[in-house]
Amino acid sequence: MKDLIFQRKKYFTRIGGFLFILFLLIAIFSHFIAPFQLRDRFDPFLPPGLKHLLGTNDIGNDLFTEFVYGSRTTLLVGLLTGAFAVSIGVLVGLFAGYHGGVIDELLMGITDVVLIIPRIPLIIVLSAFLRPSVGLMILVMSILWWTSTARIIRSRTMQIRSMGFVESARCLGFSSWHILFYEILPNIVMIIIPEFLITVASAMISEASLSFLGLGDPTLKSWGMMIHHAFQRGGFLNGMWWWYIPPGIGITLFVLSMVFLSFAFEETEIGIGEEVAIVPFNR
Amino acid sequence: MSLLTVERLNVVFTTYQGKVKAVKNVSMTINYQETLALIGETGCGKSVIAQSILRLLPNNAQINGSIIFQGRDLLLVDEKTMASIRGKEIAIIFQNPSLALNPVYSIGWQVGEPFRIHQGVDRNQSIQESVRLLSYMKFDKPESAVKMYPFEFSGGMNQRALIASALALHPNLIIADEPTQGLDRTLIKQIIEQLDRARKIHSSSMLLITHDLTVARSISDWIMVMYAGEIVEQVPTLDFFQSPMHPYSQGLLRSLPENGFHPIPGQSPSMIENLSGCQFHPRCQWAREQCRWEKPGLFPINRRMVRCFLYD
Amino acid sequence: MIELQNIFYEYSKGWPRKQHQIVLSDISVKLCMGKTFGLMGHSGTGKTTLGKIVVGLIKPYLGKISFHGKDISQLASPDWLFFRRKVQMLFQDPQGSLNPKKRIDASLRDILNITKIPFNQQKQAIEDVLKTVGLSTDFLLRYPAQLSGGQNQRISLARILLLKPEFIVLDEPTSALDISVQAQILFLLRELQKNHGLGYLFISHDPEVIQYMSHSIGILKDGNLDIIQEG
Repeated sequence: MKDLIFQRKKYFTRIGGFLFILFLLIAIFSHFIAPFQLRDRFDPFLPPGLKHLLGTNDIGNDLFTEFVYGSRTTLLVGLLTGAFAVSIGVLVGLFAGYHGGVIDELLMGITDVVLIIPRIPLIIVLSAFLRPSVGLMILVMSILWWTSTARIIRSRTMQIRSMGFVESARCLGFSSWHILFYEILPNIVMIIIPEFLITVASAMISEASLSFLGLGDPTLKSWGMMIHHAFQRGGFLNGMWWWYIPPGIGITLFVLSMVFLSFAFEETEIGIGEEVAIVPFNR
Repeated sequence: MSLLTVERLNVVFTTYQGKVKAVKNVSMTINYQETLALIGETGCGKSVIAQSILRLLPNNAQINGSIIFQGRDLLLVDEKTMASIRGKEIAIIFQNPSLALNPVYSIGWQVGEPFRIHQGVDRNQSIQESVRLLSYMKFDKPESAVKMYPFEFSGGMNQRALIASALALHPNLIIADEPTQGLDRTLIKQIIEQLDRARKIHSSSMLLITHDLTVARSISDWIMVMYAGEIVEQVPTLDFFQSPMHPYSQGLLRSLPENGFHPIPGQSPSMIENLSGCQFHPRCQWAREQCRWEKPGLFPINRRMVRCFLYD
Repeated sequence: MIELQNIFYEYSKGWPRKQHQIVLSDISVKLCMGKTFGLMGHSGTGKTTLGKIVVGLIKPYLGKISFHGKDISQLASPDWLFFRRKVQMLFQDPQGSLNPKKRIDASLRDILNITKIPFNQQKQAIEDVLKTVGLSTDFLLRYPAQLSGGQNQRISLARILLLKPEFIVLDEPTSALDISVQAQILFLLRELQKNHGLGYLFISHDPEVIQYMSHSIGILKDGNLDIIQEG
């Protein structure tokens, strides 16, 4: 049974890794992969064919080119938001968990406040008042998305803080800085990575939904933006599935790859511990 | 006819670092109503033998040899039969009572578990049975003890509850894997005596796995000394403490408190590398040229077996 | 010399009304260099708490600890650092007192880095200290989980020795080890004491071990320390 789960997880990891690398390559090498420029115009309303792999839209833009360039924005928003949000979360969690007491109460109080802010409505309001842009979206999402990471890291840090090696490091005279970043941090990396992946996925979905609502950056192409245009400019009404289905599939597959990869990291964490516990290694 | 016969048991773990030979060519017999103590340092493969008997080894282990329990080879029977043997015919007592008990179920529920699983009795009856079992183990108020939870008990009390549960179905063989690890000195004696008394009531045999020589001395009939996956000496308990023969056994006895804590020099070999000859030769004061290259067999002397060229 | 004067310590637990439980009351003892003070008592009597108070990991509720005649709560930064390095503690759980994600080599080098020993001398220092604790350099590339309890305890000891301590609190250093390994570690500790003139506070619940190791012995019971053997 355990074997079966292990096999299946290995399978998941491979699919996740493959998809992730594929999308990453598409995003990085958009210039070489896209057959045309974004502003190039052809016959409108063309269904998928050999020349236009995903057909064209109402004003004759090549949709495959849009899809390829769109991956760039979507991945950029996802990965940057993930990186910023998780960094904030890790720092807050580490300090709160390690120092405890007043610092802990203060930081966790802030976390609770941020946690109850309704996320999407706030971004909608902000976008309505300020000019919508990718930078703003990344900033606001980073400020709102770190809370769950902070809570998880805090509880794990508290657990590790009470372990013998932290106490022994304190006794040997290491600074708190050293203990936090060189003793405790390496022990929570395996929690940080899946947290990062899940945050990336969630940020991407949010970016898509905001773009769909028309609050995305109008100067950039993203997958959410493609669906938005398809909705606004009659793609849905005219049954032009090649306009709105591919970006939808793109988002779904990328989120799926994130989830699969995070499974993989959970597995390695358990795997290492198990081996150590069971195998009477060397005496 | 003996209860359990293990013959030429070999267990090899495949790990990232290489193949770990945890058990090398171990043969042993446990007779009816006898206690065999398996002693040796942590990591010498003692617990692996217990796990192979119960077939609880992880997937990266390869087992060779035969384990005959009441005429059946446990390495060949199917998983369903094995599940009915575990807990019913062979019981195991683990070393960490606080990990072996589930914190969210009451003591009575957990002690009565074997009855529900193997005999299909209902909840109330199983708790009544556990009151009876706890009274065997000298609990003061078994009626109130069954309603309590593991965290309300000390480690010693939990271990006694576990022993009661292990003996519930009159198993023919009890495997006690370091039953006294981590308990206070004063408690150890008490628990070991109760374990032995309970074993005699149920007329079971026991395989006691321990590194504590005083525990082995007080209740075992036979002692088997293991070193680096091999059996180095197999001997009746009384003879062992009077005149240990293998140099390692002698070293073990000298490191006891009453003999003045004289340490054996050096460290046990890693189980990954292949040490030629006698496994103990780098630490042995009587090692000679032959010991370095040639592996000694088990030489029979009177009632004992010793793996050392000194007794060839 | 470390001197404890009228040490009190209490736990407070419970909410909303805190309950105070006195763990140590009015403990005064002198711990000398080059000698071992054996501290006995059942589990839960505050032996470890007293040990942590001696090394300064826990502040006592009341009382004064002086190191070479100076009150440690009054020490300024350089003196405090000196005390922090010279008075060390060896913990009970051998596996737990090393970072599981760090190789032995990194664990040892960390100590050398904080004591500002230049990189080119570190290799020699590590080889020397491993020789002192009786391990070969093969262990350097392993992780703590790949070593036995006794070997981990030796590495923990090596980490402490790199700081050239004067006094070590030994909190049940052998209670998690096998009898044969226990004998080895006790032997090593006595050798170190002889060669370096270390002072020990040896905490254990095993009377035989305490007898073997200590010059003077105290029993901790109900928060009071009875000194039953003066060395």
